[in-house]
Amino acid sequence: MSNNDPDNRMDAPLQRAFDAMRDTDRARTPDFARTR
Amino acid sequence: MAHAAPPALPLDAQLEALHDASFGWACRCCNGNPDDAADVLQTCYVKVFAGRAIFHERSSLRTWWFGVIRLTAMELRRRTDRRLSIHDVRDTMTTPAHADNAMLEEESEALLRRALMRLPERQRDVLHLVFYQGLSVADAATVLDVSVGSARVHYDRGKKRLREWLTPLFRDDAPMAGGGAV
Repeated sequence: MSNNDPDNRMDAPLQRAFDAMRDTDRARTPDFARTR
Repeated sequence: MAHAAPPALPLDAQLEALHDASFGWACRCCNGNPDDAADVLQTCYVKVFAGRAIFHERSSLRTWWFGVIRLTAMELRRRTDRRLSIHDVRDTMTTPAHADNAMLEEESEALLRRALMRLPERQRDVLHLVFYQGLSVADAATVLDVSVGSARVHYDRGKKRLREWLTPLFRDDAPMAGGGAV
């Protein structure tokens, strides 16, 4: 989460949803060697 | 005696370390289409390794690289004149009445993805860069080639809208991924 955001507490649920989204995306990321 | 800074990793090793994050950002730049994102990312790698995109160290590698990905995705869109349909989720953004925690976690992620697609593109981009990629608002501004003030406005407006739209999901007692107290 951004360090310059003063209301991190209110952002926590949003951050967790983004984290879950990132985990999902990571699982479907094609291999680097195959992509480059 | 002063020690020299350790030599930087080769560029391809640094880009490999950024690969997962790069694919996530490429997906965002391609409106969530993973096939387009893979095409964009491959084009970016070709640009770098062919010397058509050069890192001049005026920003962090990641900030520069994400800018390359954004511009390449824009080129792809222009070339194919592709406009992905933005699913209007106004009627579908409801919180399930009966669902276990795993279902709620999946649903929260799906709701977030749909809610993001409702946001103006700039707001969506800034929120992705800050919350998903962990960039500061200032670095997000660099990636998007806008002023920090402008990025801050997009960030605040986007976050306010997401909070409004996702309020039922973000109640203090709503189970979320990670499940910690809010």
